[in-house]
Amino acid sequence: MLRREGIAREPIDDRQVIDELVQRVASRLDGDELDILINDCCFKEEKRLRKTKDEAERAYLERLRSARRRLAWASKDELRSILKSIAREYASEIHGHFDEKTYKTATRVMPKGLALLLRKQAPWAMLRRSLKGDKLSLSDRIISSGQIDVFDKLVEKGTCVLVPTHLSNLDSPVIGFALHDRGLPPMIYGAGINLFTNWLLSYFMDHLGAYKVDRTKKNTIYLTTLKEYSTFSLERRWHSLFFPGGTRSRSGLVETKLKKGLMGTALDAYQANLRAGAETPRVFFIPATLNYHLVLEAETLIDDHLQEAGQSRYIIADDEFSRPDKVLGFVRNMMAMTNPVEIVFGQPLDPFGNPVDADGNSLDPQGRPFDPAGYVMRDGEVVADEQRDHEYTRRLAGAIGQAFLDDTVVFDTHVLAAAMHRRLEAHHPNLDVYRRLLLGLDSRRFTTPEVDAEIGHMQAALKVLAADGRIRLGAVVAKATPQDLRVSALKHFARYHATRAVWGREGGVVLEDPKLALYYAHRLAKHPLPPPLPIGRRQS
Amino acid sequence: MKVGILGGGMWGRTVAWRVANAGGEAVVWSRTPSKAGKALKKESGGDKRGKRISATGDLVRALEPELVLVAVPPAAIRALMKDCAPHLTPSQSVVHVVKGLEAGGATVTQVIEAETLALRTGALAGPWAADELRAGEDTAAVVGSRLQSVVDLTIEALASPQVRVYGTLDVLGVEVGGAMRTPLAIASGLIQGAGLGRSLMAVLLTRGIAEAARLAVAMGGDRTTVSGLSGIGDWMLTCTDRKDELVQAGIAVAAGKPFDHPEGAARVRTLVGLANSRGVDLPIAGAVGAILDGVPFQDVLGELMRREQRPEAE
Repeated sequence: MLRREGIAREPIDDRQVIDELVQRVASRLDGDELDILINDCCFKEEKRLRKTKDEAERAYLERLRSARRRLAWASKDELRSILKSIAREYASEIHGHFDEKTYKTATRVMPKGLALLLRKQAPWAMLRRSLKGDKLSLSDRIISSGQIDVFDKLVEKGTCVLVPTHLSNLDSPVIGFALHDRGLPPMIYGAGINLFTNWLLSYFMDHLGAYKVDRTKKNTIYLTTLKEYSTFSLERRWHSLFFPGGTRSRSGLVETKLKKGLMGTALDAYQANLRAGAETPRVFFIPATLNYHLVLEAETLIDDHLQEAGQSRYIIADDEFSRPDKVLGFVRNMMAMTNPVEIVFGQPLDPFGNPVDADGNSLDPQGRPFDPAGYVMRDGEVVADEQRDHEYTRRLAGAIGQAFLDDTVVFDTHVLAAAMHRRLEAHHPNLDVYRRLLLGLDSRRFTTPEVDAEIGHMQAALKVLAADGRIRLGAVVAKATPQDLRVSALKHFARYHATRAVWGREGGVVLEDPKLALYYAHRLAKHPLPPPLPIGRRQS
Repeated sequence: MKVGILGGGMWGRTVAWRVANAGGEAVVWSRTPSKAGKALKKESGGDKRGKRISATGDLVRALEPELVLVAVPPAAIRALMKDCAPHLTPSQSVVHVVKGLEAGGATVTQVIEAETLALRTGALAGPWAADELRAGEDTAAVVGSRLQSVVDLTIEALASPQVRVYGTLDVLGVEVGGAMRTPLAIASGLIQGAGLGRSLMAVLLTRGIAEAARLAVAMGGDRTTVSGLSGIGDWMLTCTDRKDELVQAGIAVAAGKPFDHPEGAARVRTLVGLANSRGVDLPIAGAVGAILDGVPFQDVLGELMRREQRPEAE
């Protein structure tokens, strides 16, 4: 029903949601030493915001200081009251507001607007084509593949949690479009609070029903409120989207070390549903990979990864995404490519990491359906066990990480970038990757036959992996000759970035921007490939 | 508590006696139930606790209890788990007492989870001499599982005034300790058979800890677990027991006879292969593997002793 209505969640009284969340947080944390908990929250927030000039933040900090001053004399009831007031503040921030009319209008208008915005033709040409009956669709640009049909059926069988890889801030609108295009329901999702300052993304986030996540807040009360919000959403059958990598992959590597906090809320929701005797208690995870030929923010991200200081720049506020001209330029270039983006919806999983079929049955390793409730129940009752749930979620994270690797789509840009770095490694085996990045231009130039041989060597290995279901190949990687793959990748690399990652010149191929190329090469770094060809050897 | 036990061999029956001693009931499944039944009857010698142990050829019956203990050789685990898969439910716990890895290098809990829906898995190990246990001698063991509830359930089933059962969440460490037992037992036989000194035996066991710790860490386990009952505790018992069949096989090789323990040889090769694939240095296991491949014992020992000097903690 939610799907036909086309909304991410049903209209609900905001106050009711916030009251419910405050109650849940208070129950969850009541057993702890509240004075220490609140003090810790105040301390961390004081440290985080002591230099802020934002008036709202200063007022918030003042409220916390006032609470902190009362701690020493507060009775248990007063401590509970302080806890609830802080939780209320966080719940209000996270939940935000939701207007059904605005939402439905955005849902109708957005796809056509997005299509007009992103097509390579001028808007008037698009309009003329539209009048002639052409569909204003990006379906030929944003390709969806994988187990879409199973996903489509599961949205009626329980609550779906979409867990994609995360490369770019464009991921959210791209997913939003793909869901809409395939008739799948929109989803609520937690978006970094810093992104709400970006007009373009805010627009799409509204469409997706985003809730706010402030990654700079590390205190237990905030994190508990956030988790409770997620649990509450899943219990209400609001299909949700998490980026389990937590943030965009800085290195370009496929994320396999995943954050389990929000993921674990699915198990909490499932158990709450079982206790409540819900008609559709099941929660399903849909792993998905987003695969781009080129990534808008690649230069900033790999710089951030390589700089030691990168660890503290967890939230990048000044990357390419903050510049609308860059975004539009990138998107228009991307749209001129053949299949520039591919989303693969993977094998759905239950909260324990078991595969799920289209009827919503968990499957054992032999493919037999079974009811997973026994993992959390004993003698017909749900048994609370945090340590057990943590382990189950760890297993789920492993299964999702494996799905990310298996459903990664390799494009020509990835192969050429990796081939160039592999040649560099073959010529300088005693240098580590960071030292190789510092080599001069002469050391980064290779003959075309040498590069083509390496590409062919990699293609052969990638085809074996793909046949085994351990990776997916883009059309060029699967079918083109090494020469054609190289030419195609060079064209792609020439399209957008300020410097070309790889460039063909003077009868050879040059690793023009080794850092940028490393970002694209990393997409293959977690797949088992043979060592580079020895120097002077051509592929037989 | 009722416990299902898969395997009617010496280890299966030993575990069944421990369950009976702890006041529980054991259903022992065996492909040859009459043979297992006769052995159990003989072992009971009229002991009343024997009435709490029954042998069966009906796998489904043995898979009814909440806790199932598996006591079959590593080579038989996967096929058995395939047979068990249709009959297990998610609420059941499957804990094994198998010492060794599957031929491909998978641990037994990994095989159980790969072939069945069981996620509540674990491994039990420790210095358990079968004859002493049946006689009711005091000892201890450790059960490892990622789930504390599985640890607690196993302790409930096996702990008694004669057996202390400790718990750990490091199941990999427990399984690695069990896997290292085979090369160490063979090496111990070689030392004893060659008439070498007790000092070397002590070196063998302590350096065995270092090797096992390296492998445990590489596999995601904890290096300290092998210094406990499932590692050094079990090895001390095995390596000093001249009746142990692996030790005897080592003694025979030292006397110039061929190595006559195919399963032991397979276990050593699996362990060495696993270590190589993970880039872990296992000099003792590797040396035993070389001897089984025909390299003279004295040559291998000489090479071990001439290895580059290095800090003990490495």
